[in-house]
Amino acid sequence: MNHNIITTPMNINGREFVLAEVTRGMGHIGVLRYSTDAYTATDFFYIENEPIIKIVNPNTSDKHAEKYIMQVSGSEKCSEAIDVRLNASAENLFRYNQDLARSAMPVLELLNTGLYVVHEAQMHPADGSGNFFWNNYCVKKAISGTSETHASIGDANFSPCFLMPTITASSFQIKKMYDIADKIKSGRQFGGVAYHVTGMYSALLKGHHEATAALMENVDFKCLVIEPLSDVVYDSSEQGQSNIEPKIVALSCPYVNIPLEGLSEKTIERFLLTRKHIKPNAFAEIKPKTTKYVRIMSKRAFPGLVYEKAAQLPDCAAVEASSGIDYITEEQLDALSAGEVKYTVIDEEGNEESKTIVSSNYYSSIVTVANYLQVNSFNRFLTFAISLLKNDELTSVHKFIAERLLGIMNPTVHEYFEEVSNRAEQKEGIITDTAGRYRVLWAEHLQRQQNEDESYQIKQRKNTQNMQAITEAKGIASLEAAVKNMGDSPY
Amino acid sequence: MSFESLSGVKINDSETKRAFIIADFFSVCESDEGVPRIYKWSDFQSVTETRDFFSLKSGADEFEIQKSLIRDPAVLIRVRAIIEGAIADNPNIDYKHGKRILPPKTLCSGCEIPTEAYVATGAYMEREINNSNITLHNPGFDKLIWVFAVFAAILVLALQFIFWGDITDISNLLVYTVISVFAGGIAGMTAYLFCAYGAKTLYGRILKDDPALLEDITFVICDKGFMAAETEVYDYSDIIRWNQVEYFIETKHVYIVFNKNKAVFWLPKRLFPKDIHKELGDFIADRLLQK
Repeated sequence: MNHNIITTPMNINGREFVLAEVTRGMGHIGVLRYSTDAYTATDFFYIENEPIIKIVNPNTSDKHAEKYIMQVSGSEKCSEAIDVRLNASAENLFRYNQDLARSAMPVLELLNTGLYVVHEAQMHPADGSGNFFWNNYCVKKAISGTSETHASIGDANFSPCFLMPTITASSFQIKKMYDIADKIKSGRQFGGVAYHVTGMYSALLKGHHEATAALMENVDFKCLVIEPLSDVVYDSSEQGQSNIEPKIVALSCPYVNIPLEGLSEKTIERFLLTRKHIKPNAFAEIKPKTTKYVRIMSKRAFPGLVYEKAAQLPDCAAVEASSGIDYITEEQLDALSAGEVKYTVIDEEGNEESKTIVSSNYYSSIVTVANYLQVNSFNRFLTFAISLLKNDELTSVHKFIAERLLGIMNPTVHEYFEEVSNRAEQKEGIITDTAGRYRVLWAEHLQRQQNEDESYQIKQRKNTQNMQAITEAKGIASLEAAVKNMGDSPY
Repeated sequence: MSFESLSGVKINDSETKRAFIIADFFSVCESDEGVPRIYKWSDFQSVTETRDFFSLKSGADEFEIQKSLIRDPAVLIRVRAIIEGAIADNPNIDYKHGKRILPPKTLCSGCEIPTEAYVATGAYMEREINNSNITLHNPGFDKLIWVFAVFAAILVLALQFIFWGDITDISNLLVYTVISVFAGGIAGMTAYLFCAYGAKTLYGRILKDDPALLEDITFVICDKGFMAAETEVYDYSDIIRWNQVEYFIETKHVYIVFNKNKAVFWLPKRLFPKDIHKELGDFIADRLLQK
């Protein structure tokens, strides 16, 4: 098929991305509408001719309805050509540091005709509720953050950062994961490729082992994210005025809204002519597989630390709450740490002006900022949280912050809670109980880490022994072959 | 949205220097404006389809798309399917259309068609539609023609006796009777031809309104509902549910399903093997009231 892809690098409100226009694409990756009923719709995320993830919208008339998600198959059943292209995209971007547009090209060719936003973002291998992503979507269940719109986000942009696996857990290889972890330790960059499916969720096309290893090593996991551009935004300034029909002013996907003025007529026309639920060429092959899937639950056990660290990742509520904030400055954080909801700015004329940081409600400001920092800047979150806890005048938020830190196994947090526990021997405080619970969790965490290290060392030793045995066997074989050759030789 | 897998259509109007794009959104591109005006289908209050144009109204904006701008009948059918599919999803839109043999797609909803379904493909035949139209407009039509013929015969007989007649002459009586029977027959035949002409005219009008009558149609009858749609646009994912309609009648050639006393679905018996006609009739009768 003679596909045509036009890529345009863009930057809107500091969000860098590539707008890709795909014409006559291969249609090997996408979301297809399988069936609709009076109030429900069933979609499938598919790769090639394999339905991978089933997405059921239980109420199509309610845009806030959470969807039911279930993984029904794995992309390991697809042809190798797909994997080669995905691998090329990930390697180009994260290993060879090529530009986004060029890196995305191999995977863009696999998509359907339409407009796509391609960007690089930090992704979380979790289900938005603190559970590790692999093996977690094997039963049909409602997942929070999958609805089409989120009440508190509105038209604001966010990155669909939670990942859904596209290969089955039975394909997980612990050795491969440890190998990648070793390479991460030695400074090599790894990343993945993800495709936005619904709400805050993207399907991880490439990089399952890399995501797991990054989680183990406490390293950010970045992906080349592809989001179909399929929605529109109304002019908010005209809404609510009865005499004016609100106008559509921008095309949108979760990551960015692109104003119509910034696009060429041809691009807008391509967007308007493309239908969201066009059926792929392989629909006839995919359809029978959608009803004949078996549960793909695997007994594969992942390292205990993976589950523990997945629980520390931000959840849907944190992403939702943080989406309304573009950036938080150090001055704003200092003001909040001092118990203020406003901070002072000096305008161009040198006048001092007092501005509200997030909201006039202090507690809600703290919740929002904590969510924002935990999603976007983990180290700043730790510093901010501990500075709040150290301010004795802010006891009203201490319980909330301490509970937030409870799931985070980090030496800084541990050190602080140790201090609180020691202090509690003299005087009970509001977070003494939380500090005690943290002590127990920390001990368990250390034990788990030790077990993990031991099992890793045993595996490494076994590997080394195996390698030695193979080398020796090869040596003996080559020696025998040499002797045989000598025997055969006329000399 | 029903019929959501059909690809979008751009219609250029060189006279008004406008272009319309009909797909998931409705958009109007004016040649002098850089950015097109984009409307969600839910923005529209009314849509009208006449023989010559589609008219769409959103607030103060009203757009008229002349059908003559779409030269290819297949594209016209696609445009109508997209519009009606969008209206099916937005039932608040007031939709008016001309006479039609195919059911309006505004009644459709998405559905996974079960494997056990009666499916047939074929075009409508003018004869079966005309016959059924005559029956539809005059339910007791056969009896009426007979009564009219007999009445005409008696009238001619009476007139002969008044003007010419001597009833005592038996030979006269025989001649007058034969002439009266002939006259009655001719009157009956004329009445039938008159009605047939009326039906043919009606069919001509419907044909002008609905070019789909010349296309191959896919018919589906299943437990969940029924459908008749142009084969070219139908992908077996939309259906009209039984609870959307009221009753059906059976004529010699077709089953006709009614909604609000309007015929919405004509199912030609010819497309199914003769031995399942009774089974098919019973299947519909199990789900709808028969009149």
